[in-house]
Amino acid sequence: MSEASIFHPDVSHKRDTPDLPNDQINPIRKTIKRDWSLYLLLIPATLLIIFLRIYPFWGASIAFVRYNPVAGVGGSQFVGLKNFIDVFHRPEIVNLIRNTIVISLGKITLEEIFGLAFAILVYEVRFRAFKKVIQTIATFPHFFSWVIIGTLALSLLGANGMVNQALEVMGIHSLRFLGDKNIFPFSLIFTDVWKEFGWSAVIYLAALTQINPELIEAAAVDGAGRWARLWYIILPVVFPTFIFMVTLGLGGLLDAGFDQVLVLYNPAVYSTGDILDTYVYRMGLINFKFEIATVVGMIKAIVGYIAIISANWVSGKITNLRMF
Amino acid sequence: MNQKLNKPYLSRRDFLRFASLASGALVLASCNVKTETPTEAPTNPPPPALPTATSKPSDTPVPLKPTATLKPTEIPVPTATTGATPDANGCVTDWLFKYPEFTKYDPPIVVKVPFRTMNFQYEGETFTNNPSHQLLLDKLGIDYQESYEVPGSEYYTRLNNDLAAGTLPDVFRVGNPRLGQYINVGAVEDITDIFEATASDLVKQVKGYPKSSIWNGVRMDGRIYGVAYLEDGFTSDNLAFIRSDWLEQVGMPAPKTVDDVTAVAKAIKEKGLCQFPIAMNQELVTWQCSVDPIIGAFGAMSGMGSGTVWWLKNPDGTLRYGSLDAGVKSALAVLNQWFKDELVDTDFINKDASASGDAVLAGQAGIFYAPWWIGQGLLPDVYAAFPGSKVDVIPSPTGPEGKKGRGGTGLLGNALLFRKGLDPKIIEASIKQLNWHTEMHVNWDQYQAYGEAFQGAFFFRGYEWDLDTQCNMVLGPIPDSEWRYQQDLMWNYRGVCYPDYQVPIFQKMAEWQKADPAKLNSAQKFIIGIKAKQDNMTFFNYAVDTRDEIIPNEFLGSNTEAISNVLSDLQDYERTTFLEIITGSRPLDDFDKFTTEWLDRGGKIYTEEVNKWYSANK
Repeated sequence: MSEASIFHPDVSHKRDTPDLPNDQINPIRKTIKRDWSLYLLLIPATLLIIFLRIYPFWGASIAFVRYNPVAGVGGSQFVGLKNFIDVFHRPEIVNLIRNTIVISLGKITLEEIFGLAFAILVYEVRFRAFKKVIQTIATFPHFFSWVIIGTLALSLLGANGMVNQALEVMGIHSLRFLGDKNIFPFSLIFTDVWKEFGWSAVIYLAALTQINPELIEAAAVDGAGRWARLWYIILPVVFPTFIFMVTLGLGGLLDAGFDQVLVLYNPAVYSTGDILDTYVYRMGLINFKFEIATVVGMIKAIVGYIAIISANWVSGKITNLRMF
Repeated sequence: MNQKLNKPYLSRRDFLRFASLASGALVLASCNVKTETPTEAPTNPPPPALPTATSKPSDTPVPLKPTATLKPTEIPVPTATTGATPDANGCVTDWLFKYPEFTKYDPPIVVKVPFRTMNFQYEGETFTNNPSHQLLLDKLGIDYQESYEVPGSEYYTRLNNDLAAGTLPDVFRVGNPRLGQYINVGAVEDITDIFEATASDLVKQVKGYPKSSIWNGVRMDGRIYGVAYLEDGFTSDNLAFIRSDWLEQVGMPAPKTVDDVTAVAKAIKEKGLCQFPIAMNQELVTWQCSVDPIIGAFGAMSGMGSGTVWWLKNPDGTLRYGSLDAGVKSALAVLNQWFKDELVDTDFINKDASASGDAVLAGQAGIFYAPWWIGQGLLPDVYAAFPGSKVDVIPSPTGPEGKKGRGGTGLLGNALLFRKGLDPKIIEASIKQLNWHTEMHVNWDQYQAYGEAFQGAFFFRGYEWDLDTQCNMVLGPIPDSEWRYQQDLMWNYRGVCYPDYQVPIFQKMAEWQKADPAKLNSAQKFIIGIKAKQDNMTFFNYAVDTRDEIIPNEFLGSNTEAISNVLSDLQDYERTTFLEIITGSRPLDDFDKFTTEWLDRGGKIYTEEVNKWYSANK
């Protein structure tokens, strides 16, 4: 098999019983006795998982009570599904889910498309030093937090910002990138793409190294132009990776970028720019509505779980690449 | 084909190996993590160095940038207690500090409070190493420690976190309408008995205990759960200000009506004096560059979802929510027009109150609505940045029916709360400290000969004032109102003890000067001579003279649980809707939809609760 991938090469989809080691058939006690030292070493990790991953689920029970932070969950009144009903009766909830999905989808696809295009451009560059420099510059913003990039964006996209001044020079009336609710989602998507495309190109550059240079040379000799080489050699190689990356991104469909939105949004663009995470933050930490925040968080977790499972399945179907 | 390579899953043995490796790594990693934060605050901080003659600030006060720090060698010794000791130049002051009697706590009693990040700090200074802290420790034996440092803008978020996690500081300040959140859930201590036993008669008198409505915010079932602050003295009354030098340049009289304001702003813009002549910010109705006089011009008043609310009286004796008034719609129409004409910053929704103040400072706006104390806060910097500039207070604009009005200063301000389960001794110590401060503020002429001049702060040499080499008093290097330890050392914050403390004292000194200038000591002469103080006095008097304009909030009860349940959502809804109308992403007529939907979204409950209170307390 030539599954040259860092991901698990799941090709058979079935387990052959003859493959099973003997100890899987034997009673569990015997294996514990034999591998007791390994099990001992497993204990700390198990405890960490219990305390850091399973115990916090207790907090999810806030969703079913009328929460009093001083009395704790145990001391609060049990209200059943009332909080869930409340959440679905909130007028903003439809907007929230729509905004989250629109912003997230825009980011996932554009990030990957720009990343792929950039990787191909870089791949075509033959001058090594230039290649390195340009790639570093493009990857650089990825390593800054949104607090920094956001402040930069606020001044770049402001009324007197560089972008609007450039627009005015061209005779276009200035736009309120962060204040107009119809433009705001696009501002979010494009600032995010600007920050991340260099980073997503890294994966594609790795995938492009799989191409045998002789193949390209041979095609060139046979008269294939740049477009033909792109279309018949390069794209087929990176396409599975592209699909995989997009589906992987779909797993995080409801993560539309909390820190970015929090830094850039304002009440005038809530209707198109508010996402589930910022809403949870506002409800829980600003407005003191712990129950609402928990319910929305839970909904997000459940949908996110389904999204990851199905993304993995879709990716496995289309490209044979799976995460687990 | 290699069977092993093709095997899709790990065998259990492999899994265990892998897991044990991972867990081993985790154990190693967790062993290496040591808490970097020291568990104790450093005791005995090194004493600040003596000032040298050359390091003294020069005669003319240079406005410092807010983030300015001085080198450690320049940290002056706090001389609040040593007024008569000659300094390096042999200078002595002709006035002395005196403090009211206090039975000092020995050993000192430790109180943990949140510390809000300050813009100005001497290098090397900390929350526990500064003259204010030292003074309280020396005189009262109260040792304030910071439970954490938090930027002012994140203060309430942090407190909400604390509440959820059960890590509230010992003593903390909370503003209305948030008080109910802490009191209703039982997070704070009932202090009724301690307060009644410990608070001095003077404290009870100036705070109107128990009858004054300021106590409503902290009262539940007849018990009090915190010490109410006095927010009075017109501190939040937004008066109309204008850059008179610009007015002269465009050759127009001061605007009298809202239409005049629009016309003047247009003229200023056309003349190219600035891009956005009217200062406004995302909070709409707030403490600086607020729009409440515009709403008042249409006979209504509204907080526009900013947190402050207005309940107005109906002819039938009930209360109605101010933001639903038709006048608000007219005000929104004006604001929307200003936005369309680019008379206000088209980016205002990304700017808060202090950012819009910065616009005034930078000469990017010239018409704004702000409280009287900008005479000392904003204007000195404007004058310094634009020589020849002049800012004047003008009458609030009138609407088409000749009405005018402003929000005024609500009586329900902040309160100091004490964490549930706090040692009663600490509560007692805090109230004793309040007694001490109040005595010093109210009977100021017996203790502080200089008067309570600077934001209720202590009057420390090297901070608020200094002596030059000729022994003349000069302004210290502190940018005004930046030195804020006293905010978190609780009682010494403005308005806490004694309302109207600043200007009346100043006016009294001015009277003395008229009667017999020779009787004033150098501190009093110095304070009277400060232009910012004189500006403040002018503006303050103007606020007093026009007090009839104030459209008061008639609901002075505390927020019940039912109100707390709906309030934050209603505020969000109101703010979003109004901002969308102003920025034009919603038509003005959506205001009518807002008024009905507001009621459906919980406004009905709110209105019922408020009227229940009102009919019981009329």
